[in-house]
Amino acid sequence: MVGGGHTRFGALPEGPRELLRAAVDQAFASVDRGAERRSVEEAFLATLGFSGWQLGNPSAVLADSAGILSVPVTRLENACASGGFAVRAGVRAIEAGSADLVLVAGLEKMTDAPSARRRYWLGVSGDTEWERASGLTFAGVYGLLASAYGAAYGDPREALAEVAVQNHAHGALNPNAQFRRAVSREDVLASPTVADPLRLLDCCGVTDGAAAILLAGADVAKRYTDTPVFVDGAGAASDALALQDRTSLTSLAATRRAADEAFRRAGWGRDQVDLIELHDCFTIAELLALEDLGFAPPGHAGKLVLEGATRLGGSLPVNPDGGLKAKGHPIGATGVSQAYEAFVQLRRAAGARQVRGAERALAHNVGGSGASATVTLFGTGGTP
Amino acid sequence: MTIGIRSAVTVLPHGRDSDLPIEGDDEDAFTLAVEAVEALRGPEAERPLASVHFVGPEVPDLEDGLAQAVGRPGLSVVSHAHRRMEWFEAVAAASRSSGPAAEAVVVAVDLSEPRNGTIPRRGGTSASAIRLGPDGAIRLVGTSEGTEVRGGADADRSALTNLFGAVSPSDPPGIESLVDPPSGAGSTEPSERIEPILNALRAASLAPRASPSRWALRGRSGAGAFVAGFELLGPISWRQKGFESGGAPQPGARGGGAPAGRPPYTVSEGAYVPRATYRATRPTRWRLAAAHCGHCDGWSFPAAPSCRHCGRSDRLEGRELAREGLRVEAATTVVPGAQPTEFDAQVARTGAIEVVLARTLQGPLVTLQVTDAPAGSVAVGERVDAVLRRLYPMEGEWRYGLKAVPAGAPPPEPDPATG
Repeated sequence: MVGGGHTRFGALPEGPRELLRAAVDQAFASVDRGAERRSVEEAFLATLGFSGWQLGNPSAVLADSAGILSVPVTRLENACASGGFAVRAGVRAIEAGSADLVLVAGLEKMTDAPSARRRYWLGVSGDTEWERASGLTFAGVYGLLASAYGAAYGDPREALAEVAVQNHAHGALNPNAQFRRAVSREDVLASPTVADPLRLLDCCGVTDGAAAILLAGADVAKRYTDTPVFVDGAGAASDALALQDRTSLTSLAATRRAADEAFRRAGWGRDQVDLIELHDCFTIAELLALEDLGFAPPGHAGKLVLEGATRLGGSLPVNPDGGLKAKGHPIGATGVSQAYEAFVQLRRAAGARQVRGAERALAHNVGGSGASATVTLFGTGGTP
Repeated sequence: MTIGIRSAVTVLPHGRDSDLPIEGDDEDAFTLAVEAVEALRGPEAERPLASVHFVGPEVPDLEDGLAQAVGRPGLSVVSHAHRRMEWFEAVAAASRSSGPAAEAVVVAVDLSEPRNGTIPRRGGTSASAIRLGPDGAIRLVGTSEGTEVRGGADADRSALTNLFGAVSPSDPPGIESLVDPPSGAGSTEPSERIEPILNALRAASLAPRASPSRWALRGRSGAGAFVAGFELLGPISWRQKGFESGGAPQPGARGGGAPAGRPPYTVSEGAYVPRATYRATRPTRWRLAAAHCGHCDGWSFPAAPSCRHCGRSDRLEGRELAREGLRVEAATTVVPGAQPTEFDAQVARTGAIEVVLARTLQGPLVTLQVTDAPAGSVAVGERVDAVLRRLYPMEGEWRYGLKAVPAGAPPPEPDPATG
């Protein structure tokens, strides 16, 4: 990574084109020695097309907004993991030797649709034939996961609340975050139920935003900057769409497989991770992720969170940018935003939320309730 | 061989014994008819079904839908107008189609009417199904139309002679008048409601009398009048479903149900199951049609061309998963505002939705909305049964699918007094 851009996340006045343009402009502006738009040889756009905005062919909107009209742009849609898969596609394009400079952008505009339309769209990426037909949107699907987790390991309610507390505390330090305020465990537990046992403060918001990164081949990266952030390993995997077709309700197999692949490619281990950007669309997702990524045994992630290990300053900082929970979750932008956070953290440019001495970062992006997942490992190029 | 009524079942809408309104309106003429036909085809139904005759309000796609719902695509299903005279004709036609090797069913649905968008608790919705076959205990001899209902000895004698031939003055057939329910009981005209006929038949079949005995029922059908003659050879087995309190059927004691007619036309914009796909997947959606692998003993659900466990395809057999006794492995209650928009009307009426992941006895998991019980009342570890109910309207038709109800006790034994 040689450049990165990020709009504010939240309920924004800007439309989709303005958001995309702002993130891309910022990404180019961030390149230390500058990069020409005409040097981009390949581009990827991650977006769900929430609310039906330009459902087909949004690639052309990126080409247009980013001023790269002649560049081949591919739109990538894997629900909430679209961004992670777009980053991976960019990495693959460079590995394949087909491009030296790749633009990856993610976008979602969610807050301007009427609430009924938003609810309609919040359920379009789950299983349509059984989950949706029984009355579930994603809050309900994750409610089922939380229910199964509690049945297997005991009530995780306190740990779920602490996940929200942790991410809000971090989000308060991030000027781009949607919710820049701390919350207490009492606040979380007193917030209204959405999908039992999940409460309002267990759920990420509905968010507008865009993020963009510029990827360059390792051999040319130094042309752009002396401090590129390297993609050391990218892993991805899929699983059955519906929970009812999975082998486990307390673990996401796609996360496990993607993590194993990423670490195998990177050649370094979990003990060398300095910070984790993980997919906490609902608080239960953070517990599942910590276990499936291999940082806690099954049923033990809550302990890690309750002990404070995952806080900034802890032994394993998680979501220093606030995560999906506090930073916001503009669906297609999220995976790209996670890469952006790795970029600024490993370049020690994260300001108040900087993880001290960060050399290696992990980004974890999940589609739906685990139908797809990416795990990407970033480093500064030093020897582990 | 006498073709007659062998058994009967009455299904009332399922509700709770409380002052709260009946949960949902996810039952209608279609789901009640399906439940009644299924309830009749218990372990005692030793012969295959030759035909089903439906007497009730207009239900779109009734014939194909009912055949699919009872797991018999291609079954002959005949739809009749909702009139008492049509019911007698349906019984006669069903008797003709039944024989030594096959039985037939007549199912009738009476509806109460939803008022102000809510389901009245009292009204008189029911589905009554009768099974006709060899050695039936009640045989329809015939009907005579146009007879003055108030009777009078001469009119009665004339009607009975019409039906039974020579009538001995010293031992005349019994004749009783059908009492129509008060008007305003529901959307079904009181003088066309079928359930009172069955109640009268049941009472007559239980009364001590010489066997076989000839007996007639007089009543109104719309503006006209009829007398129907029966031979009573013995009591019939009669089960009731949809009561908590048990006991004899109480016609009209509990109301519910909504017509299965055309729902409002709503346009889908995504998360969309097209009509053709919905129809093609009814065996999966309605009856948990799966495939069992003879190599690895694994179950594939939905059924697939090769086993999802071992990948082989040469010993796959289409079989249904059990729809009773599923074990709940996860449960969540979704509050109003977190449901997909298809369920907005339901949620506005009845509030939060509970959804469970439940494991079938054979192993596959299914996702089911809970009905007939307050949201939040079904917990992990408990057992549920899967029943066919209305889901939501889409593009001008009702979509139906399985929902979960708290597992009932095993089906009640037939009342010993009635065999």
